[in-house]
Amino acid sequence: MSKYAMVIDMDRCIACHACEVACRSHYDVPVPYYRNWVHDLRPEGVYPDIKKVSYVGLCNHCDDAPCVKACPTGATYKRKDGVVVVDKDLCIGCGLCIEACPYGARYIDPVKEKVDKCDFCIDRVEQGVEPACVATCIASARIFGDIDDPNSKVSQLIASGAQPNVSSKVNVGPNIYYLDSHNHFPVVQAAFPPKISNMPTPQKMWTKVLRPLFWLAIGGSFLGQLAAFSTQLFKGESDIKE
Amino acid sequence: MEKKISRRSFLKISGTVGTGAAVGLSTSTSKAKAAVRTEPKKIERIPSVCEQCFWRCGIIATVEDGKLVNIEGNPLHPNNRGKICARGNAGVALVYEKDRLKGPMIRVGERGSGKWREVSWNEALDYTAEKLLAVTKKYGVEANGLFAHGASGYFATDLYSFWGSPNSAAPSFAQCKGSRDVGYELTYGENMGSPERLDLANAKVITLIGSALGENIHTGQIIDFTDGLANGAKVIAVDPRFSTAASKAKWWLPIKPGTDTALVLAWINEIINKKGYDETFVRNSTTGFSELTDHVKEFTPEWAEKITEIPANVIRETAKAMMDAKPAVLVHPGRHVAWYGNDVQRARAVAILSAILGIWGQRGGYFLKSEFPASYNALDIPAAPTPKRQRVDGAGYRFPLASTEEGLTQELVKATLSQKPYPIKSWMVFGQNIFNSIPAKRDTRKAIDNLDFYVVVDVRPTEPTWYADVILPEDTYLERYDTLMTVTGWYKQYVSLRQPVIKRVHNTKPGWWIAKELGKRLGLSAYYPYNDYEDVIKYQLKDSGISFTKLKKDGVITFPAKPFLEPGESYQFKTSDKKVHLYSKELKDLGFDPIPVYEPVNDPGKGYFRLVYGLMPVHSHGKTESNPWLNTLISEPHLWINEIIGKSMGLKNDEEVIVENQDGIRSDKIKILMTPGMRPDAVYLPHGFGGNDRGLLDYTKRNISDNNLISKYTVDPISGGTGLRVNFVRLIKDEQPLSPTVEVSMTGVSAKKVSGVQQEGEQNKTFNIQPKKKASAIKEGC
Repeated sequence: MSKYAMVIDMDRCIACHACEVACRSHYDVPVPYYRNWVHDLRPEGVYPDIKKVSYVGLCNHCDDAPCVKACPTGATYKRKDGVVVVDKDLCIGCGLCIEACPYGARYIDPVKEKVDKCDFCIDRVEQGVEPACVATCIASARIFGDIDDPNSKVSQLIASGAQPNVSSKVNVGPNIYYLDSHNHFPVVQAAFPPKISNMPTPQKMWTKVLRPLFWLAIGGSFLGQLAAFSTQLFKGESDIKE
Repeated sequence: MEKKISRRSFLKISGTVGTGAAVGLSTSTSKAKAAVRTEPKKIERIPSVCEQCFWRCGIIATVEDGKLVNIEGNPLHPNNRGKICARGNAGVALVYEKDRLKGPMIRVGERGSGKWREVSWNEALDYTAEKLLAVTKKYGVEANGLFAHGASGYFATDLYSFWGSPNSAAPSFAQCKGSRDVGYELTYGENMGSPERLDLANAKVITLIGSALGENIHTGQIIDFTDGLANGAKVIAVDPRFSTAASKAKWWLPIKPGTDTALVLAWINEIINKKGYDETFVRNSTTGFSELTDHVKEFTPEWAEKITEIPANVIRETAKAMMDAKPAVLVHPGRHVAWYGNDVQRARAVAILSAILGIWGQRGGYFLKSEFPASYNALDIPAAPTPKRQRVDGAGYRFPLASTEEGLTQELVKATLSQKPYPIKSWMVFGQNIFNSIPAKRDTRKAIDNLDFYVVVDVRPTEPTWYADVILPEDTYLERYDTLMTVTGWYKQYVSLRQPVIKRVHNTKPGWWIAKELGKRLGLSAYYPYNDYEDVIKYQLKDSGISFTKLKKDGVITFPAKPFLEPGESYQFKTSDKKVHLYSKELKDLGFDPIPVYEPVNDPGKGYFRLVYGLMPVHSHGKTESNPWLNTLISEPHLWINEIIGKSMGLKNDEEVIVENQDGIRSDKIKILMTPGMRPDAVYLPHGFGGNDRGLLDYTKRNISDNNLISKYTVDPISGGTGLRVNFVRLIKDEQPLSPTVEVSMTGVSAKKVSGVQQEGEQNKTFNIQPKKKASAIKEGC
């Protein structure tokens, strides 16, 4: 069995943002949302020890994914290969998973009213093609692969010291690792620590899930009745089949 | 599920080009699912060439039922090897950008009123030709001036040369790499070309003098640069600003702007003194070494320290790094070198440094130029007439070594402004934002008032479009053919094809067609014996051994090159005596310094900072700021200022200030970025934003253009290249000019309080220049 992961080689990354735009293009991600990102930090430090660092991020496909737990409909789930995905047919757009995600990796598409996020380009991967962000990366700073295979490049890079973005407070088993030999990663961790998950409360379940569902059910039932009635008007009762 | 993702399988799949009803690999999950559920979509994958910048990467466009849905890199193309940058990816958004020019228009209101009427192509072209011929009749054909840029700009340049006007100019020379090319040609007999022939991947030391690799994204160079870094290359980044390249560097040399030639002369001095040069190469392949040795004798590292503010020991240490690594030392020749108006001499200094390190034709140094193995058929058209009058820009006579192919844009503006040496009464601006590329925008704007006729050909409107009498909208690069793109030399040689990947979206036309149709109306039909540019390309290739069908299918055909010299092999340089000219008799005969001399620069003066500028990785010149996918990444630039200086003026990060230059020209409000990664005597503003562009809806209309503040410029007497880093600015807040209350030097002196309130905790900050050390945490991000 495979378990997919990604290593970001911060020594190579030059923060060109190609990955971000390639992802937008592949998934029609509406501006200003994103499925992956490069956050550029202002060059800081005490001269001459200055650091110019960028945070390259995406869904961490966590082993103990809070988004999966927070999802009330089972739309968000973790596949056997480790990829956390959203079943758009089951997603009701409640947004509870967004609050649960420690990495800010999810958004609601305002048109489709469904949650979206990185799925490691699993459709491409299953056809033997690298994820779009990896394929376009000019600096070859994104390395994707199977960490169950000890000979894979990702496994080797993790063995050589690539670290996930976890803290003493938050560690949900992320599968994005950062390789860094210039002490840049601590800067990223300080600026973008994983957030403590905001898990659903009964109150939130009511306001964001049950109440909307309730109205949806009522509305749906009303529309159903209306449709049946109209059909009846036009076609006559005899044509309506149970 | 068990499949391994290998580069090979990626290549195989990406290389598949053609049509089919299969689910496109590059389409989204949602798109793919939709395709399964409904009628299969017609998916085409068509190769072409990008033009979001001028590096010209190979791309593969995915087109679903006629709609462009994705662009990715062509793995076969040497320029980018399957990768593309943010701008290349965002080509999709360019095609469907709502503010594109969508049909030909003729002005109806006053010039600059923004009132046009939509017309047919016939009417627009007839009207344009009528106006151009009226100018010609009254003032002669030479009264027609042209500014052209980009791949389709060549069609316009050809049109003007067929017509007999010598007055065409492109910013690629005087505002970009002209002085570099002249400096290298004087030294080596040939220039570094584009893509520059640099073996960054195998270099052990990479010396960047004001070259911000990483923010200046030329894909192949970044691939090689990052491979070089991974291979352990040590970077020497000479830059007043802590650039991305500096963040990867072993040595950041925050040089005093304008003093680079002094640094390079001191490096040459040190390398000669320590006998660290390549003796064999110098003996066999150069002339003028003894003159050079005498010349640099006084230019010691101690001499240079006083000028450059780089400590002598750092100059020695970096010189040693280069000597030890030779010949795998990549001294980057730079690209945009239009800095101070003495740039040919600086380029010469860099070329001489490279020469004595013996890097020509060496692994980790400069690639050789190879012979291209094919030749193309030439179209059977008459020779272009010899212009009856000299060109107004002085290229070739007032500026003896300026390119007469690319010309000097700023001199064409000046001649139009003064109407001397003879009247210039019409302009065609073809694919160029003349307000954002040529300095002294006020002059450019005023010169338009002297024109009887002014026509703009472009894809999207820019500020100068607003004043046009006629607008001829061009296809995007994804909707048109352009000339064959042939690169000879480099690590590989190739020919690549730009071809339309989709049917045009609006009532636009390709550049070649616009030039041809105008040509016919100007009585130049003999130069255009074709209806379709595809036929021209087929004819050019017919006897070359290169298959048009294969080129169309693969997008590129490559040929091996011979980038390196064999051991012991000597190279016949293209100079008069086949040697590298460390001492240039040619310059001496023209009355210039035969070996570069450092020319002192002025200090900004109290309260003022030198304005420097550069590129951002997600934008190209003035071409991309309205692209929604790129604008969302960076919609406006920040002005970089030294953090201690900024704090002493009471500023906070992201606070807005107005920037005013020495001539009283002001910007609109610009956000500031305070950082220790900026010299205290300069500020940095990324290029390619703002202006007062009207008609562009989706991005800031604030005037935050660096070029607006570059009202003053110098001109290189050798090349005619402009010096753009000669402007000083101050910051204005609440209508009050701000003045730093501390003095900060970068040569080992503490920040010194001069007046006002000392900022807390700053007394102890010292500024010793040392090789950048590892470690130490920093405060916070932005």
